[in-house]
Amino acid sequence: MLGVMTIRKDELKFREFDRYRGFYCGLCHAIGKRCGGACRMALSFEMTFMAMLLTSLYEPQTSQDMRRCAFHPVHKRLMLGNDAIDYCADLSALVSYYDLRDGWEDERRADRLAESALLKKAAIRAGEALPRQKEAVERYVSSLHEIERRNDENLDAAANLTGELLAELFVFKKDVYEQDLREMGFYLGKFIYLCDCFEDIEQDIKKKNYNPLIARSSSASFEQESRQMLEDMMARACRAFECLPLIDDAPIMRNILYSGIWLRFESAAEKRKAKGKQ
Amino acid sequence: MTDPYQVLGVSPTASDDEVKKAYRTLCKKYHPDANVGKPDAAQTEKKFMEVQQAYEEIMHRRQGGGQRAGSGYNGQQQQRQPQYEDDPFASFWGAYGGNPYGNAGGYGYGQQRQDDSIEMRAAKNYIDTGHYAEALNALGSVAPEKCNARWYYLSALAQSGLHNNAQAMEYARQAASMEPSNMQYQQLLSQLQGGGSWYSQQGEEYGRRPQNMSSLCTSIMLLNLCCMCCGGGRMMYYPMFCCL
Repeated sequence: MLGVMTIRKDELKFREFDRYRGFYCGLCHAIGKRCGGACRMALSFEMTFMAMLLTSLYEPQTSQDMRRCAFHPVHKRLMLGNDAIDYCADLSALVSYYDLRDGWEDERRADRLAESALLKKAAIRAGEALPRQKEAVERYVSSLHEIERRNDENLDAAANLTGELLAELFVFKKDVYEQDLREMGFYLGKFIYLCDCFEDIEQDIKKKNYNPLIARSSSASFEQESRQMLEDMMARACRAFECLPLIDDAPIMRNILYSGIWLRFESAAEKRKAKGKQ
Repeated sequence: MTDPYQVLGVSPTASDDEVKKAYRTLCKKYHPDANVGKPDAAQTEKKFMEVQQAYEEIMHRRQGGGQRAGSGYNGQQQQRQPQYEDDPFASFWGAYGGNPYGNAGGYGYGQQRQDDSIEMRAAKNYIDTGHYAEALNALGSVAPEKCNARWYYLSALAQSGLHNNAQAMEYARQAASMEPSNMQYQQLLSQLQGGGSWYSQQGEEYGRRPQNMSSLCTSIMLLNLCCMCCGGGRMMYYPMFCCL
């Protein structure tokens, strides 16, 4: 489900892109350091965005190092490091672990089991340090099963679960920003879930997976209605985002929220159109 | 209450960024951690709270005020905004001395309300008092063949109250297409779709190409319609042109 919150690179300035990559590489480095090298597979754009947002909001003391890594052995890259990034590193391991284990229990995929075994230790440690977040992930996994089992037709039923999970994860500290962070996380989560459903329709029909959009996908105005629905999600998320006192890196985050987040949807819509014409 | 702009020391015409910067500067100055052990620590803490309150008030007012207040996510149920009241023109008729069209039945909802089954009437009451889950229960007991436009309209309101904005939009669309002449249904639909057009306009600044110009135009037109209908003040006479 992850990988929706991308940047629109051609609209970013060079230094903005460097800064974004600083978060991305910094988060990857933090995951490796805190959770073990194999856990780097848990790296995601979503957590990179969260790291950037929390850094901008709380302005923690941030280290800037130029380092080489196994993936980029030639040129040194900027890696940022701070409390918020460490928090997102722990969350990455936690969420990925439950996601992979779910894949094993659901579909009996051995690769998922092997990968989740690599994350287990880190996830347990992260779960002990972040009990509230751990509980939210567990609640998410079990409630999603319930909704999939009864094949809930309500468009929001499953999306709200992802929303509630992200809402909980975005709350780094309990303070005055909690409500705006929750609201933003909630609608971002709903967007991510439903965008993913839109992309996976064909595949889910074949595999008979739960997907609330399947029943609606035969309508002629399906694409337009999906776009409208997703725009509503983002409009709500962005209203909450704009309420937060964010100065640093705000243009990069707006690039993602107002534009980059649509890249996956647009390419899926193109594909649907091309298929329809055939 | 003191003027929030004065507390932050910015003018009411300041940009969002200026407000945010002013807030950040003052926060650092008055933050309790920065003033530990100082003789006026209690006073600065009070000031700190004031600054936070002022900021919140300004930003929430700017980001769509009323609209957002109703959608506060944390499970709390709130009273419906007045614009969802059954007759959107009630205040208008009140202020201008009577409805020139005789009665609201001309639009079809006066009559419909008498037709409402017990379940629908119960649902309406639940929605009015903010008990959305109970409203959905009541609506769920209506037989599928009796699900008319009003059923979809009430379902949309209840879903919206439960933060089910996608389902709400779908129901509102259904209600509006079943009875295209009903202003109340059209208004709810454009209200639910209204945020999207604001967002799309912002997106163009960040390189997102406008999709489906026709749909964007319609939604802006519908939004205008909605703003005019429920907007207050002098513009009040305006809706009559577009509603006809």
